[in-house]
This record gives sequence, C-alpha cells and structure tokens, in this order.
Amino acid sequence: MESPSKTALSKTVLVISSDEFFRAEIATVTSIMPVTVAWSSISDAQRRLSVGGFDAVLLDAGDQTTVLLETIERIQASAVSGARRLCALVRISQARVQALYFPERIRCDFFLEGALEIEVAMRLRFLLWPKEAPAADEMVSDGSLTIDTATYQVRVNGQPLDLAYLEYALLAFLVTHADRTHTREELLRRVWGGQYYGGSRTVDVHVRRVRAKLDPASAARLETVRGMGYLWRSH
Amino acid sequence: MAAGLDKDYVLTTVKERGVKFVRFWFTDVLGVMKSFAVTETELEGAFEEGMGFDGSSIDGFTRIEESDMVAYPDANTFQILPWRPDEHGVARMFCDIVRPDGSSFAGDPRFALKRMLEKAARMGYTMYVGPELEFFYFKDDKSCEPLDQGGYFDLTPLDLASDLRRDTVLTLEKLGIPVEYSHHEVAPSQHEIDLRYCEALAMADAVMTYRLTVKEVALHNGVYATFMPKPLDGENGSGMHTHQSLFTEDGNAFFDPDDPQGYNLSKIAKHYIAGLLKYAPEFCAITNPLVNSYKRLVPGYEAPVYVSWARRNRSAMVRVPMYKPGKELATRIELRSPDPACNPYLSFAVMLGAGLKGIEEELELMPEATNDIFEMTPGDLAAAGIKTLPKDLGEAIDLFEKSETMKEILGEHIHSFYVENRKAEWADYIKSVTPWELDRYLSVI
Repeated sequence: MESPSKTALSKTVLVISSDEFFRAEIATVTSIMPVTVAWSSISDAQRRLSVGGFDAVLLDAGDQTTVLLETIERIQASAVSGARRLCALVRISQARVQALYFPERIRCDFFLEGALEIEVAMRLRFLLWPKEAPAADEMVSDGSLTIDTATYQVRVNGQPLDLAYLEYALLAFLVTHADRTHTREELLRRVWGGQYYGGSRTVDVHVRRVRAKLDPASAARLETVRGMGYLWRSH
Repeated sequence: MAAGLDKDYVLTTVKERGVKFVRFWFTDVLGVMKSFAVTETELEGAFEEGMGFDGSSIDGFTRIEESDMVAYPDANTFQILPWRPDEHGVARMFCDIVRPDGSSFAGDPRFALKRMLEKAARMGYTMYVGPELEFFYFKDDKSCEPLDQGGYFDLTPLDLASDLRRDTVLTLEKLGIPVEYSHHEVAPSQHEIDLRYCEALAMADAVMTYRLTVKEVALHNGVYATFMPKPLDGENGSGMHTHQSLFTEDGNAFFDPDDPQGYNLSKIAKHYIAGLLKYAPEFCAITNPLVNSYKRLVPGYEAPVYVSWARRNRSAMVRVPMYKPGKELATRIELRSPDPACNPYLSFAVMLGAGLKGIEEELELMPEATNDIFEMTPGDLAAAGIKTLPKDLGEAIDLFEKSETMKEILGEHIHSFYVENRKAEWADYIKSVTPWELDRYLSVI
C-alpha cells in the first residue's frame, strides 16, 4: 500500500538468485530507493516470471542466464501494447561474460561478480529511471523533509541533518516506503542487509537516534506501532 | 551490512556539506583520546590505505623501533561535530589501528574489545551496555570549588549546572548519543548523565565522545568538569555503574520468566554474573585504573567494596535492577564498581570476557547478599566466602599481573604494557609525601 504521491515513482524488481550473500547485498542496495523487491530462487524462476508484476529483473542465475533472459523476452513480446517495458540487470562471472547475449526487446545491463555496491546501485537506478526521466525522481519530498537519494542529504525546512550512515539508511528506507508498518526483522533485512547477528534490538537503538536528530514535528511522524514495528507517516 | 555504501555516504556527505577536515579519533591503552585531522582530499585514500602515523609517542602502542602505525577510519562512526559551526565543517570518525602490513595491532584497545565481541558472536551473543557516568563541575581545575551545594535530584535556583547539563544532553543527542536520564547527584556539584542502552562497541566510542563533550561544554561556559573518581574527601565519588546484558537473535539472553529462584534470570545470566564476581578482583586494575579510584571504593558512600550481588542492595558489586519485573527487554545486570576514569574499550572487554568465562565454565552463582554486608564482621564475611575488591592500586595491579585470564582477554601486549605503566604509577605514589602525613605528624613528632 504505497502512498499516492509515491506510486508513480515506485518500481518492483524481481531478484532471481540462490546466493544468500548477494540477496543480502541487494536488500541494502535497494533500501534507499523507492523500490519493492520480490525474490525468487533460480529453480523457481520460470514459474515466478510467468506470474508477472515486475518492472525489472535482477538476474544472478549462472548457467541459466541465457534461458531466463529468453523467457523475459517472450513475456515482453506477448505483453499488451502500452505495458511497461521490462529491463534486466545481469550479474555474471568473469568466466561467463563473453558468452553473455542480450535479447533485443529488453533493456539490459550487466555487472561482474565482485562489483562494488555503488556500481550495482547506479546500474539498477539507470535502468529503472533512465536519463530522459526528470532528475526529480532522486529527490523524495515529504512536507518539510526532503531526501536527495543521489547525495544522501536529508534536509528539514532547508536545514541539513547530521546523520550517520545507518541513521540515514533507516530514515530513507522508511520515508521511501511510507505509510506502511515495517517489522524490526524486515528493517534488519533491508537496511542492515541481514548480516547483523545481534537481533533486532539495534533497530530500536537507531530509531531512537534518528528521532533525536529530527526536529520534533518530523520525529513525531516516525511512529512506533506497538507489537509490530515502525512506520513513517507521510505528509 | 553494506560495506561499500557507508564509505560512499561519507565521501558524498563530506563534499555536499563542505566538510574541510575530518578528525581521526582513536584511544591509547590508558584511555586517553588521540586525534589527528585529515583534509577531505585525503579521505578516499584514507579509506583505501589508511593514514600512517608515528605510534611510538602513543602510550602503550609501540617502541621507537617499530613505530609506524596505520589508522583505518570506521565509516559507520562518521559524524559532523556540532560544536564547531563557524569553521568550515568539521567531522570525526573513530579508527582501527593496524600495522603497516595490514595485520591487526594487539595494542589497539578498540581491537581488544572487537576480539571479545567476536568471541561472544561465535557463542551467539551480542553485548548491550548502558553506563551511568558521574562527574563533578568545579570553578576551575586548580581547586575543588563546587558550583553548588545541591544533593540527589535537586533542582537548585539559578542552577547554572542544570543549563550545563541541558547543553551537554542536547549536544550528545546531536552526536547520535541518546540520553536516558540526567540529574544532580548526591555530592555537591556532582552530576550524572545516563546513556541509553546500545551495543558495546558503539557505546565505548560513545563514552569517549561523552567525556570530551562534557568537558567541552564546561570549558565553553567557563567552568571545569572532572571524571576523577574521588575528588572530595567525605563526599560520594564518581562511578560508572555499567548496565549490561547479552542478546541473541531471539532476544534477551538474560531473561527467563520460569526462573525457579524467581529472579527472572536465565542460567546464562547467572553464569555471567558468577564470571563477573569471580574475576572482578583481577580486572579491577582496568575498571578502576587510578590511585584515586581506590579512595572511592570504601564503605559508606554507596560504592562497592565486597564481591557480591543483590537485587535490592546498592552496596553490592553487581545489582540486578527490579524496575520493570517481568519485562523481557529490561532484564539486565548492573556492575557498580567501575569508575569513569577507565578505558571504556578495555573495561567492556574485561567485563564481557569475565562474563563469557562464567558461561563457558558454567560457574555457579553465589547466594544473593541480602544483609547489609557493611555491617558484617570480617569473621562473618570469611564464613560467607565473601571476598573484597583490591584495597589500592598496588594490590589491584598485582592481581591483574598474575591473572592468566586477563592475559587471555586483553592479549600479551596490552597486559604487559598496562602492568608496567600502573606499577610505575603506584611506585611514584607510594613514595610521595602527602598533606595528610604532614598534617598528622609534623607538629607531633
């Protein structure tokens, strides 16, 4: 249930991967974008692709890459005219990259295994919001609070906030996925990347820190939902 | 956790916010904050290769022959400093110190704590800590002239100290250090600010920042703040009561609603407390590092003297608070012996190390001390098997030196440097002639 002003921006990415560490990395990379993530293992990919409901596919499928790209092309070909144009971002090993082949109808890009997270983030961003789209897509505005997701800067009434990285990542995730309660476990997965082993208490610690740095009016919009988690109430 | 994005966050923020200098903060073995400034053009290189510096002038680091050290900034600790708005923005990051060949440096206190935290993580635990740091405000650092004559929780009129505390709390919150309580303490001009519970490494960094902030705000207002454990004879001293607990993925490992003894404490919690009690005399030299620390650990001033634990008794060394009985998250224990002059990285490391040993050895927890133990005779104490904490730094360093456990927890490098340094301190103290002796003896003999 996205807030009305955000539905135009928000996209759905289907991640096809059986690599747990890569999935955790993608969870964090996408946490600061207005993006909903759906997951599929490689073995279930064909079925999941046929279900549809995604704007882009992030494909980490090893030797199944070509087969799955062909499936995506078939889905695009049989789609009704005016349907959203699919794109695919492929993660590929050095060994396989020379055999990589991109289908015509899909907008594609790739990165090698071991690419820095910032590269993955930017390639995904360019695919989802190509350069011809207005740059304002990177700015998230909610009443007096603005987040420039390209430069990580958060401002309230024009005044910048002095956030640490995790404080920024948590706030940006909540604001770009507003009006929806997120459990601590989900926040741990999306913002911390699921690599944190100390339990979800750290989420409470960071919420407290973010609230301390926000002005009172904004802090009040970071709501605790008793017994469930946290929610950012949009303007 | 996204290792690449947090560095990108720092580099982008530095550019966007016009930060010209980033201070690299680290701590020496004695707990003194060290810092050097790096310009923003150097920052990317610093993340890749670290910043080299001469470690031989840092207490406990190296000798002249092996002096090159490298500081790697921890991007997660990046924070713009709120008290320097007029200069081009200044920020800080805490650093890990490594050798030039990239191998970890055994003399880095932050590394010593990280090693213990890794041991805990392998056992499935994360340590959360909440220290209560007490301090005095005096007119200056030359004499102990207090700002007020107030007492516990007092709100005195024209309370300059209230304003100082408020400024300090606001600054701490801007630094990402949330505060739970702040109030006037028992002794005149003594105050306390309690930091809100968080993970041990972040909290050790926070204690270093806290001490700096309290002093900075005091200086800015023309007064002096001190964390000296016992500056006023005949008044309470300043402690660092440390609340602590272990969490697993499933929640608080110290909580057990079905505790047969009715304490709501799990077996793990009881072993942990037993570990603290067993090794306290050995780690006292770390948690109470000064000659003056032992002037605080005497009966009559709410500071612990005996190795014991209790729920309702504030003279016990370990207290299990009863504020919210049955509430899982709040279940924790409070170690009351440490004082705020300690090195927080080493202190948390030895507390955790002792607690984990208690869990590994499945130590049995002694019975709760229910009587006021200060009223027991030495005979009663011996009969009850109650030990005392070291009576002075000399005794503390002896116990620490002989402790295989302390060597294991802190490593040979830190252990041997610390012994040498504290022994020298003690030797210098015991040969000094004090005003007490002159007052007492000069006109008499």
